[in-house]
Amino acid sequence: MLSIRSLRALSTSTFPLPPAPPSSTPSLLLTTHTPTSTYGTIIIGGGHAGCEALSSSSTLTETLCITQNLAQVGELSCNPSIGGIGKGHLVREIDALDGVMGKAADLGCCHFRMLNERKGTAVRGPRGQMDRDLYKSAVQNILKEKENLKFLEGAVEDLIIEETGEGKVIRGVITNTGESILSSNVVVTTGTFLGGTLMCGLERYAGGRHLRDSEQVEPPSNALSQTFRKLNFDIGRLKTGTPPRLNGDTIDYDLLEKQGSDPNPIGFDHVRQFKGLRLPMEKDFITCFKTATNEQTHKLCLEYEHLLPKYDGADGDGMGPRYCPSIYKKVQRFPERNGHNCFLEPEGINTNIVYPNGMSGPYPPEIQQKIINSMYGMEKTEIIVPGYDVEYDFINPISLKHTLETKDIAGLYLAGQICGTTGYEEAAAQGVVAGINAGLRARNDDREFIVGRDEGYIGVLVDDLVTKGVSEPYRMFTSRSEYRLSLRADNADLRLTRKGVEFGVVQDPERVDALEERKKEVERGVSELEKFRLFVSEWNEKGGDKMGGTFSASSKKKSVKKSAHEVLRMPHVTLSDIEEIMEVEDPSFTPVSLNSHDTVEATVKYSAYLHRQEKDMDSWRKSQGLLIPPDIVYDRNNFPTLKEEELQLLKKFRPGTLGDANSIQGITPQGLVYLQQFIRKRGRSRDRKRASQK
Amino acid sequence: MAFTTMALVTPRIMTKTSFARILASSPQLRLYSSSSSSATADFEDDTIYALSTSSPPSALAIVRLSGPESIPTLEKLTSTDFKVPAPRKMSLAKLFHPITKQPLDEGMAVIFKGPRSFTGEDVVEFHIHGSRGVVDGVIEAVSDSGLRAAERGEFTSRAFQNDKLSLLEVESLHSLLTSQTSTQRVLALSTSSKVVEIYDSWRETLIKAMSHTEAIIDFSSDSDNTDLQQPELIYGGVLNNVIELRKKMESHLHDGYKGELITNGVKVCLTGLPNAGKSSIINILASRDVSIVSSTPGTTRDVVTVQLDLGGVLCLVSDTAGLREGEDVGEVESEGVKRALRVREEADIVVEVVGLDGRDSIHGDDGEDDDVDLRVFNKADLREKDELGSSGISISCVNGDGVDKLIRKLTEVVKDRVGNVGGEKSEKDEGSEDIIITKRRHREHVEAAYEALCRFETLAIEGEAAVDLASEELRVASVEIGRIVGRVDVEDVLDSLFNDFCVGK
Repeated sequence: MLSIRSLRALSTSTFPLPPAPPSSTPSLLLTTHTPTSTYGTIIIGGGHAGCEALSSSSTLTETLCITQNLAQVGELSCNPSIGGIGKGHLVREIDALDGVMGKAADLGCCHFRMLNERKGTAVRGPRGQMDRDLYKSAVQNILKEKENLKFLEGAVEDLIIEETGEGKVIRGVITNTGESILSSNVVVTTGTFLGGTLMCGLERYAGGRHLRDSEQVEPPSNALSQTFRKLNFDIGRLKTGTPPRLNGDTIDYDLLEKQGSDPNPIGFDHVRQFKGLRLPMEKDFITCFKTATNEQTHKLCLEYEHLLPKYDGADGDGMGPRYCPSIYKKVQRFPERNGHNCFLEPEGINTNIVYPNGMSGPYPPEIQQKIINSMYGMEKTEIIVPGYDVEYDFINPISLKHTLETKDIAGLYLAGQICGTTGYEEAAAQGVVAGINAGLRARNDDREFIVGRDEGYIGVLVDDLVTKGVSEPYRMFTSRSEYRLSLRADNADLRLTRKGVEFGVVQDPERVDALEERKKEVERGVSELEKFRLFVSEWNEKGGDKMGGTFSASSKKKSVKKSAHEVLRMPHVTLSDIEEIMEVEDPSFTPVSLNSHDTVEATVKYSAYLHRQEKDMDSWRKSQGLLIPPDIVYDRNNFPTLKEEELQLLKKFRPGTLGDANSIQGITPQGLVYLQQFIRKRGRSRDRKRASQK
Repeated sequence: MAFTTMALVTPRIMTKTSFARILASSPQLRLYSSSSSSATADFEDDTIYALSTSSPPSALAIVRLSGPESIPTLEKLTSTDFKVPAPRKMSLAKLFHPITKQPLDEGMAVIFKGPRSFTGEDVVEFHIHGSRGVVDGVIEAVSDSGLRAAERGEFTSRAFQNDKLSLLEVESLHSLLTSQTSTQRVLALSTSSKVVEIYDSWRETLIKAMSHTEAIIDFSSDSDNTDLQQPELIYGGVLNNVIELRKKMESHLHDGYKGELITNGVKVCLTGLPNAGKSSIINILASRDVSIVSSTPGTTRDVVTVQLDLGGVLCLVSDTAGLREGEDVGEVESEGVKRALRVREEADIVVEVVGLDGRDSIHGDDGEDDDVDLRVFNKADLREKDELGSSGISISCVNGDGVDKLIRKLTEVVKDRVGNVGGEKSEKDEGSEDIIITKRRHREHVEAAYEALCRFETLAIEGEAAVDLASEELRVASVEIGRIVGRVDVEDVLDSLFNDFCVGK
């Protein structure tokens, strides 16, 4: 059996080696840790969660990053892309809070698509292909600029925890060199490194991931895993996989379908968009290609099934993401399908390495080679480095508060894949939340930074994690949000930047100005549309069937005037259609500026729904803080079904809100239901009385 | 380290989670458990008991135990050679006090192993003789075994907590326990199983439909799935299912409010001119003096309501002020008339009592398109035989003539209004005849869901461009239905989605 390491050895002789990645920015070392330094916050890990936590925490307090390999800070371990549907929303929100990911993604972007372009604005998802080196160095350059931020290359072996009268409190960390570094706030973002095991075929070896395109393994954090076990955290195993990397020079692109970039890539960074700047690498954008598996591929997948790894989780099957299945899983679960798409994504502008998206499956390297070669246009394609799976420990996030602080140990925060999520964007979003909260706590600021489900996907993500827990890797989908029409990629700044300013993490005056300008522009745009009115017959005449379709049926209606706002509410009419007409009719009219175009369109299109969602959001907010009338009498008469113990507790604590009642130990869920019903019934009968008095 | 550790969330947290799942369907109900929800001491561990039948003496009595200690307690109360019976099998049990070993009763015992029991926990029932001495003895023995007396409603709340009952079922259990008439009881019983089944099937249809539209949104442009790149195809299937569902809801909404009528009682209003004898009739119906009767016109001012069981249907019969206007009608009486008219407006059945003066001038006397369901000609003893109309019933409150006929006729009208509950139904009407909307709250939610589905149909025609709005309507519909059944979660949609589509790159 060839190991991944021996294959690599083999590849030096048979395959052309890719150019070594440029040694990226050891300049991070300039701000390195000295033993005398003290920190408000320590962040363990330099992945996507870690980087965001570093960035947001360091705006609030002195922050130290401890990571195994400084050169790997900001590395994209798996697919070379950022964003997508749901995930793109998260990146925009991270950017609205002045995080790292959106800015870096724009600098590293070498191919961009707005997914769901033809569907409604709310479900559009920006997605960029990244040049791995450009992305990583962009992340590192952004972090380098941060004051208050220092780095230490090393591993954390243990946490220093003190038992106080009020429970456990974190006091710092102990590194692999035996050094104790003290801090009252520690954010753990170890990703797949906690108890990580790599697998390729039947071979298993300890590791958190492979160094990029290399047989070298980055060691797992096993000591830290033991620490969490000792602290009685609820720990489980999840797995994920990455496909082999291919030599692009050996792919017959001429045979394959091309997938180009959007002609007007908009990117992620709000400030850049506001200034109207194009993406920096636009002229060098790459093209992706598409191939597919076939019967032969599927036969191979099933034939070598017995050579797939045996996992710890799910009785040997491993608990992986259902929405990112291995090629084996796809073939096994959908035997009637005779092909699955495979997207070939170049890993950057100056590299021949290609990422075959959809082809993960940790068969032994020689089988992976056969599987790749069975596909169209790939007959001669060489694997540069085989794909592998990683199985790792995660901590059930039900043990966390909405601030991502652990419930049991004050000052200890978790963020990222360690909480059972998957994806760069999900990890980064948690990093922002944990980083801000740790930073606030370090400043003795009592506020908690919590994004509501009604404010952003970040809020949906965190709320889902901490209230429901995780049983499979959690990925963001737009369907997870009840308020999807309100939480759009186009209005992330309008939803969150102000909040970021209040909490001190958004300090960039350009970002704040951009927000204010856009707010004004959106208001102007919407009111212009309300003011502009034409007869239905005129809309018909100027806009053609598209705008007249629904009106033309009745000649009576033709003599009715309709505002541009009303016409735009029809699903198939676009803002550009309307503006074209408005410009002709009214020479003084200025179209909505490009940076607010989508927001104006969505605000109008969804206006009826947004109104309803606003009501839903309101009642959600209310029930969070549903006030319990102070004069409520907790007796048998009012609450015939409550347990005596619950009545006593309610009498004793007299909770102010339903949320407070929920936090009293001994109040049962059904007790809360009865309490909530009683409050609402009482409210209604009072309303009725008031109404009848009028 | 096996992945199964994931299942080891503490019971308390499980509870909160399932609670959150129930509440997730309702934004008003959603709770925000920002603070620690660590375990309450011994909540799950203790075993409770209660006398489940009415207080002694009675022929038989049932003492019920629920919790982990219930089967060990059965063993403590029986002799060493007693064999614990198989679940759901009655067996003879000689009961002794566990400490004094005094004999208590020779009764029957049956066990239910959790989760296959009412509460979801281990349950033991003692069927014993219903004398006070026996019942007190057994209860004392159970209590001395270390069990705790149940709080009110605790068996039900444990069942709810263990996911054995949905909110809907808890409600219908409440209806059953408080049912006053046989029809209410039949309705409550059918509610618990059949209705949940129907609502669940609606919910399933919606989840399926959502999984398709959500797949178009979240997975089509980036996915492996070629089906999803042709959204029209999937949309077509979804649309047909939704139309079918919408029609089902429509037919249930057009059930004449039968379920609510049975639950809340059929409102019967006695109306007519002053001094027609309405109060005399209500007194006869109620078999007691509830309304002051006098020969002075306008005696009744306020509305007097009595509860009657007519053919097993709860009826709320109201006596109202006689309808008249004019100078000699005082302020109080004219307020009484106003109220009378309002009650008549809201009544399900209007019974007009006609005295010797004919019909009231407000509603005219053409007798054609009015709201009167039954007309009663009172004072038959004072009338000439041929004076009586053929369309009504003639009675005399003085000599009792025709009273039986009135009750029979009124019962017929009432039963006609509420339909045939729980009885035989013809095969051709399968499904549509079941009364499933028994509460105002449920009707509101079904109506809202129905409206959302109508809007969905319009939007679906727009195709891909409006898929965001169309799926929003499905979400609204599922939330509304979820508020009745008490369970809906995005995870259900995702499960269905991953089953049907090969998603992921």
